[in-house]
Amino acid sequence: MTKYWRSIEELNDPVSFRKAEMRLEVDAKRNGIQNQPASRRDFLKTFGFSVAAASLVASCTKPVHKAIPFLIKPEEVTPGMANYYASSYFEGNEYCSVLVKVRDGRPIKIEGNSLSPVSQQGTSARVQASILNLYDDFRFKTPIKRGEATTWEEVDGYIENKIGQLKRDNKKFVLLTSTIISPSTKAVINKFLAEYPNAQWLQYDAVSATGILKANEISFGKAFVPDYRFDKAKVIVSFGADFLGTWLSNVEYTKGYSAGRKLLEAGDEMSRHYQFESGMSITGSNADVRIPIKPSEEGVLVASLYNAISKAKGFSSVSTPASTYDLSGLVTDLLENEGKSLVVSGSNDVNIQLVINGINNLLGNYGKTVLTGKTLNTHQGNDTEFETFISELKDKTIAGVMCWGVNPVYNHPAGTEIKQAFEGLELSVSFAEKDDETTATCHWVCPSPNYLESWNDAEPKTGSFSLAQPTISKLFDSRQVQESLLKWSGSENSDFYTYLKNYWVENFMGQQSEFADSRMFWNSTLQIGVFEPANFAGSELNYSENGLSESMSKIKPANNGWEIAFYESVALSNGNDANNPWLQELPDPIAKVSWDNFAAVPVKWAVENGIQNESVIKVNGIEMPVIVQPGQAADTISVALGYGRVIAGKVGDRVGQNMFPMTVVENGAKKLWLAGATIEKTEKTYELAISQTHHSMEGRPIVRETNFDEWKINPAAGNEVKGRTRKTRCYIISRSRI
Amino acid sequence: MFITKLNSMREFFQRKVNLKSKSNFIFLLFFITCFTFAINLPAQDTIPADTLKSTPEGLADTTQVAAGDSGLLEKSEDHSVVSNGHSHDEINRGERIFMGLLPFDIKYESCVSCHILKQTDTLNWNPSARDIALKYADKDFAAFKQVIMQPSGIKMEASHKDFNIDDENLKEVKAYLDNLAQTGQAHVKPSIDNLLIFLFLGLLLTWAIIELIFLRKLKWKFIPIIILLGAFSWQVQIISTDAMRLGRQQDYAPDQPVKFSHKVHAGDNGIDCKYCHTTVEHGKSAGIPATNLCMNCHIIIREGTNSGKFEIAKIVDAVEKKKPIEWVRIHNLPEHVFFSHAVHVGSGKLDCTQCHGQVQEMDIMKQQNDLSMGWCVNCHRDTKVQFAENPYYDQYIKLHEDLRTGKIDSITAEQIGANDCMKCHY
Repeated sequence: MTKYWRSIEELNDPVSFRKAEMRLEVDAKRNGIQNQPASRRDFLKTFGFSVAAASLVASCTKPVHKAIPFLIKPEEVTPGMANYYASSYFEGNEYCSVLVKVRDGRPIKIEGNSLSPVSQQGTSARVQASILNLYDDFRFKTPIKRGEATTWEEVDGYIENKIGQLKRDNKKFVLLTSTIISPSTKAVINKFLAEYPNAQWLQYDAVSATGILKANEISFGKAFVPDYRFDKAKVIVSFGADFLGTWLSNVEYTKGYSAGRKLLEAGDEMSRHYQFESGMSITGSNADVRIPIKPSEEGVLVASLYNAISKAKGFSSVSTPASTYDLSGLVTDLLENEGKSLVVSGSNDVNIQLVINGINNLLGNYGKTVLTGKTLNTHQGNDTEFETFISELKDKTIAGVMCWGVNPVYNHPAGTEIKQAFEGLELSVSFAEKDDETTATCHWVCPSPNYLESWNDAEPKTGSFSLAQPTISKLFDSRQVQESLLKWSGSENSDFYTYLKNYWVENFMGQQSEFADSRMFWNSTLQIGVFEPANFAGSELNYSENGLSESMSKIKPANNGWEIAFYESVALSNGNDANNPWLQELPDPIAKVSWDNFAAVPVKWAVENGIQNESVIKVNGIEMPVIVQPGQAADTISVALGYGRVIAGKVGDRVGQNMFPMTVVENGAKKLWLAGATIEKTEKTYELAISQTHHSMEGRPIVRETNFDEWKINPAAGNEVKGRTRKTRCYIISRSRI
Repeated sequence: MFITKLNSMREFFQRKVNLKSKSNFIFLLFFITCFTFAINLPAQDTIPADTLKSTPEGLADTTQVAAGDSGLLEKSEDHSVVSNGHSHDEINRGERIFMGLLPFDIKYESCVSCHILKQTDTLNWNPSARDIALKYADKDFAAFKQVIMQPSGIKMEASHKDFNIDDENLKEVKAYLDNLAQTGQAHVKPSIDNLLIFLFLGLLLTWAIIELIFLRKLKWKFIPIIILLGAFSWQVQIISTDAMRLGRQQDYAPDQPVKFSHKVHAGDNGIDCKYCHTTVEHGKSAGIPATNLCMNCHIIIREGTNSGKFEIAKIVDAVEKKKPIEWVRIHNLPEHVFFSHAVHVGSGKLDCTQCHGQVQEMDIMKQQNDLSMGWCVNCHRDTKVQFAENPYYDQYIKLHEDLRTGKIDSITAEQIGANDCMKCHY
């Protein structure tokens, strides 16, 4: 019977581990009884009882309950019964089409929208937790002027004046936003830019896909992220791309991936998944073949793979540094499944991505598993442009900045310089929902409402559209950014709802033939939440081998020494939602740690150096608690981004360490790994909230497993209950003898 | 040996307290404290006006409501001569006229005989004095006089037929009513009969103990013993009944802001329960209807057979002034219980009267059953569920099979899991 273990200690020595566990439990109970201070439960018991007794003696009357119905009851709204409204979630580069369960005028639960072909009724942890962000007390309640509450009239008066002045003086100001996938918002922004030609619109993502964007610009002439079809792939090779966890469009890819591996009837096939990565991720744990590599080895591997495929097909190969791994099995597999394979990489290095493009092209994947006609629009930020922005800030050629959904002071390595530059600007406006490191440096805050209170639309992939509608009246005095921009660009009617509706009627009603009446079209589309025009035909682009050989020559050999790999964790991703207690409480799926980030270290090194869980090591001078991670590549350490916020709210402040300052921008792209790191042991320990060893199966066969080959022979494989039957039988027999 | 036991107890107490003939003193002291407590209890009349509208329960049992004093107004605090534009004299005269105390030779009924001042148990279709006061508080004298002397409704015409009250007296009545609207209703104290009985039994108990141990005046010991046991068991019975009734509101029949009679609507006019209580088949709560549903009929029907125009005018007023009506909720389950009407009415196809009683015969709506857990669980054991042709129960394949083969002939709610703890206490 397969052995399952919850921690390395249990794996090594199960008996003493369980003894220690039982001892812990007994100690806890003993302590609990004796010298535990009165727990909350006891307090509530005594308090509750005495209140009841006291109220009984004191008043002897029961309170009167009132039932106050509607004066005029809307037909669809019944107190106590929930209604579901379709909306769209798009924050921090993640898109999901959702259904919001609203009861008594308040949204209480987010579910996936089954009618969406993009997210297919899926949601992720952040989407589910986003309901709590609506009710976050840390949100701005009014517009703010230099730390003091103010009114919209004052805000509008000043800002309109100021940008008019900047326009006259022809001084540049930048509208700095995260990726915007809303066509109507883009129209509003373009209108604003037309009114203010001295303004520039820049999109910035904390963790961008700059490598892919630039590589595709070279290979196809257009900067885009293609549509990866995991469901169509029989062989999936991923170099460090955690596509089931946090890479690009993880909900969509999870649906595709699982569709390719679903075994319902005899004759179904599973795809084969190869994963090359440094730290253990959800994707890696699902892979059929997982090879731990150092981040610097990725380039070499990718180049070798290209050469091997190229040679096998009879093309020439370019000389590259030799790789240490034997890729022949992988190459055979890929060549057997041409046109049905998918090779991806999570790297931001344009050279690696160009080689990946080359590999996909050689394997004939373009047009089949990698579609270039339909693009993923959720990551449009370009790190090179942002570097230009930073240098312009420092040169003082930028007079004003308007920030929307970005936090570069926190998540860019040059954060402190940006902060200093912001403080010297003539105009700094933030459209944030709640305070953060960047907003704290801005003089004016025009708070935007939460997505559950807003009108919006989205085009996450070209040709797939969805709408977002408010599910509750605005809780605080906030105003949608689109309305602010409309007002400042001089529109008489700055109501974004009307604008959005008109935009949709003008642009999308003509692309469908079901409804001829604009009101019916709008109502029906809003109810469903998604819209795919029937006559959308994205044409595939042509691949060209530009720059391929150059990039191959730029591939550097692997480094020696320690390397740190940074990743976005499933719970916190880029750190925007640090104030969300649900996400902080969520144990990391692999390490099962809540509330902190940690350094995941390889097992061998830990054993050799006497490091255990919760020991503290110094990673490039920053002290981090350790988790000993099976599967971590040798000489690598993985640390999650998104922690170490300082202005997030009372939940998120000072939880974990900020790793963004350690990222570097190399070749115009933010590199998410660091070579030449120094690791030092310390004698300290740090208590981590680990739930890794919880939930013992206690010998019961709760988890059953089998593999594909056995399933092919017998579909019920793995279900044999091999628990403790033997012993039970003996017990029964001995009983009957008596 | 019982006597020796008592003797030893007495000596123990006397040794502890270190006095012999002070036992009489102790007894007296105890008596006095009980009495002062009993007398001071009625002074706890800090009851807000709207709890009077519902019958409180508990040790101070109140199956009858009004046991308070004469309902005379509280004078305004600052003792000024003029209050609200009216002098105290005016108000007092108005009150007496209202109550028919003067002038003496009037041929019509006094106001108070139809428009009551104190709360009563029985239904009185006419608006109470306070209702009238509140309605006309912001209307002037001319309107007030118009309504009284030249009423438009059928009922009012009949009852106000031979009024010949002169203007001056009418003005004084209006002054009184304006004051009434401001000062509110007299406080009604809860009846404390049960509490007094309880305390009296306590006294008996104490006397019996003291008699047994200290005084020993009676020759036959069994008298104080019987009194002791009897008093104690009666006390226990009072406590246990009241404890079980704690939180339950059987027979709760509060006054509602509008005198809505189910007898008139559901009984005489035959309106179906579900016409108004629309969400009963799909939601947890049956729902008190929104006022716009009342207006479905009452946009036309402005005069009721029993209550005239007054009550219906309240709902019209609510719609016009956009103020929802605040009904008093009668059937209240504790917070830890889950109850869904949809399961019982929508799927279980129960009739409303099975739990709520003969509502179509109630003028004032009252809670018929105690809605205790035992009552619910018993019904689950006994009631046969409509199993056939009910799509909700299609999943119970085995039960359907058993029905078909004749193994069982009917299904009770208990068999389909109604008495699982998790169903209601989840």
